[in-house]
Amino acid sequence: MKNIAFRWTILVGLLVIACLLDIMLGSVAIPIGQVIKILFGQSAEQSSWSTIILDFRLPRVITAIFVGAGLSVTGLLMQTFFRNPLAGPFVLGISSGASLGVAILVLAGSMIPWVVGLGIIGNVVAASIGAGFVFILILSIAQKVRDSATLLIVGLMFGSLTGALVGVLQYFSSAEQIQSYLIWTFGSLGSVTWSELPSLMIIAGLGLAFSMALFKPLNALVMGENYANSLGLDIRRVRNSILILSSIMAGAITAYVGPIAFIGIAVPHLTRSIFHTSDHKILLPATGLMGAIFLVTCDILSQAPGSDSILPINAITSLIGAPLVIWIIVRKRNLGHFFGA
Amino acid sequence: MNLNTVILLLSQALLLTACDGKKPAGQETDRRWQKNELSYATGFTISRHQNLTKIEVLEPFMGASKGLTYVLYPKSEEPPAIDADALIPIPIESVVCTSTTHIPILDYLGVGEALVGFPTTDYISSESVRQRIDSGKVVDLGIDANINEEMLVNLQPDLMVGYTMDGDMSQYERLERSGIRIVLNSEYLERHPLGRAEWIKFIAPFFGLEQKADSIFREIEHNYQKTKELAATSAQQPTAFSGIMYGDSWFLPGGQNYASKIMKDANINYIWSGDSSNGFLQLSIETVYEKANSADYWLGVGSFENLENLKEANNRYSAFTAFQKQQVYSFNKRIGATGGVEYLELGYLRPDLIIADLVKICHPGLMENSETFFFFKLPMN
Repeated sequence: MKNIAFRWTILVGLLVIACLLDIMLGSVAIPIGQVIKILFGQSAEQSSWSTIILDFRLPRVITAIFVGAGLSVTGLLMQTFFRNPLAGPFVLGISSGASLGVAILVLAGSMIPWVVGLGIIGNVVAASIGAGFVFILILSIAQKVRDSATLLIVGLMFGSLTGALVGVLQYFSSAEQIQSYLIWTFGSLGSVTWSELPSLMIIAGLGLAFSMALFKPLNALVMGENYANSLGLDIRRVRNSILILSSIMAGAITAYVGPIAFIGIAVPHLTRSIFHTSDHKILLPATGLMGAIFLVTCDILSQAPGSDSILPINAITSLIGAPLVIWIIVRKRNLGHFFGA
Repeated sequence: MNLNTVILLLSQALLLTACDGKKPAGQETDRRWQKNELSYATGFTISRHQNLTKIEVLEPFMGASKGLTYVLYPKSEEPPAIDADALIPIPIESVVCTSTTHIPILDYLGVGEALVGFPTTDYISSESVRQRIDSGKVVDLGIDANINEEMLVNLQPDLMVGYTMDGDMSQYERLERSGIRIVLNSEYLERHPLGRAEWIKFIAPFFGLEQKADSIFREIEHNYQKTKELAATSAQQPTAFSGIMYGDSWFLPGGQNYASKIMKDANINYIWSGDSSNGFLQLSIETVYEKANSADYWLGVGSFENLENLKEANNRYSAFTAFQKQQVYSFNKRIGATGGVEYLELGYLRPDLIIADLVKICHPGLMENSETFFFFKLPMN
């Protein structure tokens, strides 16, 4: 246990360091002394620096923490739920479902005028419904097909299908509608502002808290449904709560920052390989913490400190996430033992 | 790659360019082509020999290794024995265009009725052409690059004016084999605003309307230069920036871009005018804010309609002084009946209207009529 406490300390330390670095580094070089001054509410040498730190960088770092933690925990929930090591909101088509929801709202929203005025909350609801819709479809197929690889292929197909539907919708939309939808699909941690942050924090925070409370049934699910049943667990209820939680978290987060790839699948594995456990009492908070560190680090890299440009956040998460998953699969040879297979 | 290979490759490259400089062999040497001088356009040349016209497109797309040669001959005569990429009997009576920038040229030359097909006719704003579209005289040939080849071949136009951004000619080659005569237009590569407008002289010979094109262009050039001189008299040189963010990247014109040239000629200090690229820059919002946060004007904000929308899309936009002082302008004042942006259609032929707009916005009081043509100031909401 002492060993585990040590790992927690390191993780928290890493998160703090990553956040500080993310605030200090960026395209515009601002001396550390000035950064500290600004953070403590004093005025800086140049007024533009205050805006850059307080309005551009700080909300972005906070967004990265909640999005990273939220998506990673959603990935963990789904991997345990489907007992499939390769599950995640992105690969199972849940994120595509969220995109479809937003696409319908943005591109076809003009037909139902009152939804246009909803702003970001409209996006959140549409994305969550879209995500939940795909989740239920996947679930109903999962009950017929037991093979985990097949389920992934079905998820892939749903991804293509929703992509195609979005394509058809674009065909019938105006240039402005397409522009605002395309801007959203690029994925951006920087578009969440101070006024939108509280709602993102509440949704992701509540999602995370409810997930933590599910650690016992999740542990039972790892051992298989029969085992869970023998413990007297109401499988239906657990299934439903996981479904609702994952859809809302994946959907809402996608609504705020656009589809962000790979984090949901990579981080839970990374956490398992560090903590060597399948106990969700440890895995859930550790995955959240790791996800936050992961995304904040990706954000530092995407800022390409010292250059004038920005790299797309999705390019960075995929660039790190995909090899990581391959590496873990190769190293472990068989990921099945985490799921009692 | 070792040094020897590099030297070998370099010397081959030099040899190739040396060969290119030689006169073409055969009958070509017998003909004395008289070159028509162009004032600004550098992407094509026109020359004449008796009743033949030769048009060379020097760079059909960015990085093209060779140009394209088109020879135009009177349709009452036999085709001349000349080696060219296309031999075109003129005057043509029907044409298929592929870019909205070709449409105003037809309009101005008074041959709008020659247009028989266009991909995505919704993009076209020109009122006279829209009337023809609505009465079914212009066939919609599909979406953007995905031209419906069957419909096009069925249409049998005398000429198709195409373009390629990436050098992919496969579709044009396929269409040529089915008997469609195609010329490629690369006006979008021109560096000077008037150079783009001068491409009216590229289209005109196909209709035998060279003189009309000359006089139209001369007037546009005259207006442009007059406004430029007027702008230069202003003692103040306001600062400006441009563009919006896609994802986390702010897209704005490079220092040698068409748009920055017009701003410079309008006596506006475009903050990135010192940059050497002619495409678009992708910068972080930090970089843009650091340099442009106190700039006077923000010119060109995509399709946003008011400041409220702009702020809703990204709250960070409101940190700029130009936003706070409500000096944000869009070039989408004129939207066609089916949603096309007229700036992107007529703007390239009429840089004189663009420069006049910029002078009216940034040097108020300098021009008598203050009504802008393409630009409008974004209202609060």
